[in-house]
Amino acid sequence: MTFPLVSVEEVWFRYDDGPPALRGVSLEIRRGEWVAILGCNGSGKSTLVKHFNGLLKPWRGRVLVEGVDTRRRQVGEWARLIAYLPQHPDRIIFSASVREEVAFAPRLQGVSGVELERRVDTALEALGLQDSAELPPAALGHGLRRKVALAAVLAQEPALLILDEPTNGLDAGSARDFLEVVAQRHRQGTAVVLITHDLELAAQYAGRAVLMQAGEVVADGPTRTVLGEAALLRKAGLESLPVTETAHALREAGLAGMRTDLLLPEEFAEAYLAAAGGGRDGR
Amino acid sequence: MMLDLYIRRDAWYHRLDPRTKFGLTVLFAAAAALIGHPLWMFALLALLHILPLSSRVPPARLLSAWRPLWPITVIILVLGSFTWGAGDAAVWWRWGQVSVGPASVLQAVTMALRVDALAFAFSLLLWTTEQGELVAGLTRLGLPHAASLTLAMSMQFVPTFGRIFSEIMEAQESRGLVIPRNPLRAARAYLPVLIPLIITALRTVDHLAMALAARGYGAAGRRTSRRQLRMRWMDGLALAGGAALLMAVLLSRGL
Repeated sequence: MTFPLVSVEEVWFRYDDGPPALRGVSLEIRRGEWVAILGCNGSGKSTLVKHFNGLLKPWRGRVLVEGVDTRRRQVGEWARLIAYLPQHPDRIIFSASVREEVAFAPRLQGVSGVELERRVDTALEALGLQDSAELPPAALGHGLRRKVALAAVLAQEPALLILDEPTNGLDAGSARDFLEVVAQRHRQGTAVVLITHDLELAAQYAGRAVLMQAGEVVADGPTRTVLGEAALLRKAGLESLPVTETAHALREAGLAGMRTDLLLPEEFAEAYLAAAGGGRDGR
Repeated sequence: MMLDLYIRRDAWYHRLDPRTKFGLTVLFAAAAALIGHPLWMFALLALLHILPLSSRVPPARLLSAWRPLWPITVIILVLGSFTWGAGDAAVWWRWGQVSVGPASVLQAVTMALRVDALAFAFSLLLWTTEQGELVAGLTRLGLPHAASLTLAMSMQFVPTFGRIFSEIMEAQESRGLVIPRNPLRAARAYLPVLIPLIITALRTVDHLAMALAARGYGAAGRRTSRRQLRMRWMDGLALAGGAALLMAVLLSRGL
């Protein structure tokens, strides 16, 4: 029997004596998926993903990783399967050199020798950090520290990579470069869970989107479908993508054939030309 | 997200002059140090619960203060009961040098409650006093302004660094870090947690210093203060109450 990588079953959770931060959440993460978790601040996104590797334990319900309840093992034992990149890279950086930092997690998994060197070199190369390998990571700039943190979790070679707002504080170009590295790992079979406010990044990379509001999952499905739900997005505190908004506006203005399930500018251009009747060689 | 311990309320203890609250904290601490009987200590601890509650500090905040305190309380109770019984006239149980008797248990209970009372005395000050008031109060008591600001900020940043410690712990556990039960090995295993915490603290200090300098802190000229401290009749009453409590403790000890 094949289990989903992560199975969240009717999970409720609350911090201390506060109100519930998760309210009966159920979902599955399957191997090789790229799932974007969307929602405004305080919607429960980070709380949810911290259940995937047992950092938080449900108050009610259960979370299974490959069929095993997360309560039955220590968090560290899930590191072979699940890697978690926190919002702030400084939360993980402690070693004297970038190379040592990247080697830390594989070493804890018992990886050594040639295999350890391969993992470290692959991760450093993926992020273009070869020249910084012997530098102290804490002394690097913010963008480079983010890269070191990503290299450190990539070296775990997990089946699931959880990224908590990984592009915060990065300019658009650096954010794209950063996620291209993740996309490369995804193409090799790693499942990715991406927490983000940036719907454009979700549209570009994630095949599936989960929309959260006040600790509940209010939409879960193909990214195209979820991001097309303008009313739901607004209710959850997010704004639709400009291309989707414009497509809706054109349709309401009388362009009857205009498609509205659009995410990317190039899709918009094609749909507009088709709806306006000109096609590529028309107007 | 809890950035400091202060709980904003328009309530009587909050409205006291910060110097009064410092004075009361010292009186409570002195009482806790001098009380020798568990019943008295229990009464002091009860008073240190009633005071914040009467100033509308939420009961949940008192409960969360107990969360780190109760393991310490239990450790003192257990260790004290077994190690302070050497001179006990009546012994309930003895094994070599280790014995338990009524006197050792009473002493352990007193010591455990003393630690709790001290923690609650300082928590009461921080729950009810804004950072600006702490600084103003310490400065009016004669401390240089820079020292008052440093002290007040250090106290208020304790919960912030507590939260950062938890985040670092989570991140390193996710990388496979497991803290062993053996205390010596555990101390070494904490390095990947403590180093990022120190680096974050140093960065925070740098950012704070820059933010303060950017807002003109340290500029030449006479400092003025928006916050004008004034003692009122309630302050006198509260200090008299605190002094009476200490006097009663001293009398009960026959001093």
